[in-house]
Amino acid sequence: MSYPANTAAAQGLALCHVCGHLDKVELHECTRCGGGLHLRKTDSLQRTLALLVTAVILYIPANILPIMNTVQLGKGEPATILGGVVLLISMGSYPIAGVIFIASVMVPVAKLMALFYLTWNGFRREPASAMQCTKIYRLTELVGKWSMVDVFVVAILVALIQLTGLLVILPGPAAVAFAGVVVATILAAHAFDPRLIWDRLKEDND
Amino acid sequence: MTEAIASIKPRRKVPVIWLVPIVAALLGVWLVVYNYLNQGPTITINFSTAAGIQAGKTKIKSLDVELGVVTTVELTKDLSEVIVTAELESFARPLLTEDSQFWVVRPRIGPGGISGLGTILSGGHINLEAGTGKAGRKKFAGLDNPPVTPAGTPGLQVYLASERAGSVNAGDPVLFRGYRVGSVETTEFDASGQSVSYGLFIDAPYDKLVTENTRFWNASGITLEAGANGVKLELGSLQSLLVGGVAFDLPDGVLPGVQVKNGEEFALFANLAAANRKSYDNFIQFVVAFDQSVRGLRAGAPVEYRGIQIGTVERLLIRELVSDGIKGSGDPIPVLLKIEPARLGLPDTAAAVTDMQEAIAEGVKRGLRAKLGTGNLLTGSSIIDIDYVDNAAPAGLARIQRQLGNLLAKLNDLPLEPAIANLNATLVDLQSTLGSVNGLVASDATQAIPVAINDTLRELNATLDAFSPDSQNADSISRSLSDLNQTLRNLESLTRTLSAKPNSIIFAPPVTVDPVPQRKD
Repeated sequence: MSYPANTAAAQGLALCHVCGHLDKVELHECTRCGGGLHLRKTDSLQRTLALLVTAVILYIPANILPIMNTVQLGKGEPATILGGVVLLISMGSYPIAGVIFIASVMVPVAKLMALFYLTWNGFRREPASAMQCTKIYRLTELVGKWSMVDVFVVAILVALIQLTGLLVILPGPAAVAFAGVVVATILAAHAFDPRLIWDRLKEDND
Repeated sequence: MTEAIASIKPRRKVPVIWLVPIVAALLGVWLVVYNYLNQGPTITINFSTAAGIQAGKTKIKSLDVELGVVTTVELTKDLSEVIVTAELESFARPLLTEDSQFWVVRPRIGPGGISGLGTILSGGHINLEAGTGKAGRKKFAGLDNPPVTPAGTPGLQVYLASERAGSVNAGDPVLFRGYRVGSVETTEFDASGQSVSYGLFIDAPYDKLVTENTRFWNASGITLEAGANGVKLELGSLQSLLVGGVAFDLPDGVLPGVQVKNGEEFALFANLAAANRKSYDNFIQFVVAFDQSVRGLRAGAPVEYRGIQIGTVERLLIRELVSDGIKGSGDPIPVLLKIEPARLGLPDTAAAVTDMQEAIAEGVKRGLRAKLGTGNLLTGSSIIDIDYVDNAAPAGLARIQRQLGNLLAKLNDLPLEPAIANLNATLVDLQSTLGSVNGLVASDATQAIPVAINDTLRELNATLDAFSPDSQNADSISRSLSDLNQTLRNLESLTRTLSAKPNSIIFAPPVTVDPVPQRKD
């Protein structure tokens, strides 16, 4: 792959991943901190894709298994994420149902789809416009901050509501799976090198 | 300086990172497989009602450990029962034995106390009581009530037969000397046998107390019995007073014998006295005939020889008397007696019976007779007293067997033809007798009888005159009457005392002791 002449990459320069020191790529090691030197993140697309697949796999049990077990007066009532949303709607708590639905369903799904689109574009011979890809990447960054909300809700409820005998909330196995989804998507977003979007752009412009 | 030669390898096509989704997928697959392998059995239970059972909510528990949850509640096709389907955890598999029992736990008040209070808040659940049989059953019939004894409890199952249901119910305690050692599990009335069968469960280790000679009796409540031997009041323990129960023990002086096996049947006696009553294997039956009133004589009344009980009255043979066709002819009333030699300290053997039989036969020849005696003043019950009587009328005591045998023998060789010939001769005799009677009536002496009667009547008149109001005799009669009046008045006061305190005729009125001053310590 050739890089445009007016870039650091074209002159064989790269930033250290760890300390940000500018070094020659051919040195392979940062002269300041000894960290590895790469022009682009190693196997960025492959890693992103692998982590995305992991997230998708984990998303299945996260939705099937109960995320929370509300034990009321000795009677357990396990609830899945979607079951909880439906329950909240039937109880008339639309705002809470909306928050849960956005945080637990829309955010992770949106993030997964956005990242899939970006990686797919990376593999494509004729990618979509770089501008569109940039917008989608920004969306990923924006949405990613909120992806842990659902796990937080469970964690806080479990910690707060422990009226032994009357009302106890216990985390379900889906909470672990959901946390796994969130972590996998965060790592996927991190593994994705957005510069890949614009590398092609500059190639084209050249 | 040697030049380092770098060995250059082509980059791996597939990065290591792909291990992550593979691991995740493997974990997922493992979870599915694990769940599938550990999927518990699905069972169906039939209940008569679905009260307290909710699909998806009602749990199935054993010893309060959750085993599963009810998935569906449906009606049977004929709408008579409820089918409850439940999914259980895999570890519950060994609990589904052939004799496992299911029942709905809800608050209950029973003879065993209050149970299921915990379900007031949490709602009912289905309890599983595992048995000891072979595991693998999938269809069960639920119980309406919790079983009294959990399946597989070590102990002994015995059955009692009784003619009356009494006040024994399922769940009542089984007591041994007042201590609860088991409980009544079932009560069933057998319509064909006209008897009640009770299923009892004696908990280990008390099952060893039940042996072949053990007697069971109804210990429920109070027993008041008034018989020839006086009035008896029997009280059970407070618990058995309130809820009834069955007690068992060995009769006095009886060896325990061999321990019984499961499912043994016993008789249930009405009370302690009946259970304690010794039964004698060997006895002689006699029939005695009374030509006076047998009022107060009941089956079970003692038969005494000079005050020592030698047997009991078996029953009055009224039925036999009537069916013999001698209605209202003033025949004596036969009473069947049972004489038991063992009561007199003789061995309870057939030899003793033969000896006794001979002794009585000998005694009858020498004037041994039975007579009615008063057993108890208050209850008016009678006993039979056997003693020697001077100038006894012939043959008062006869053995029933011999009597029956003799009767049959007589019927067999009844001399009918000679009897008819005799009758003919008698008729001829009668004719001649009537002829001589005719002659007698026609005689002078007979004619003179009316004159003699006239004289007698005249004398009677004179006698009656002597008892006229003015006469001395009348005076003495009126004095006697006033004496009788006085006596009756006294009797009345006695009757009053008796009606206020009936036992005063037996027990002297209590003597109150003068209070003695005592130093307080």
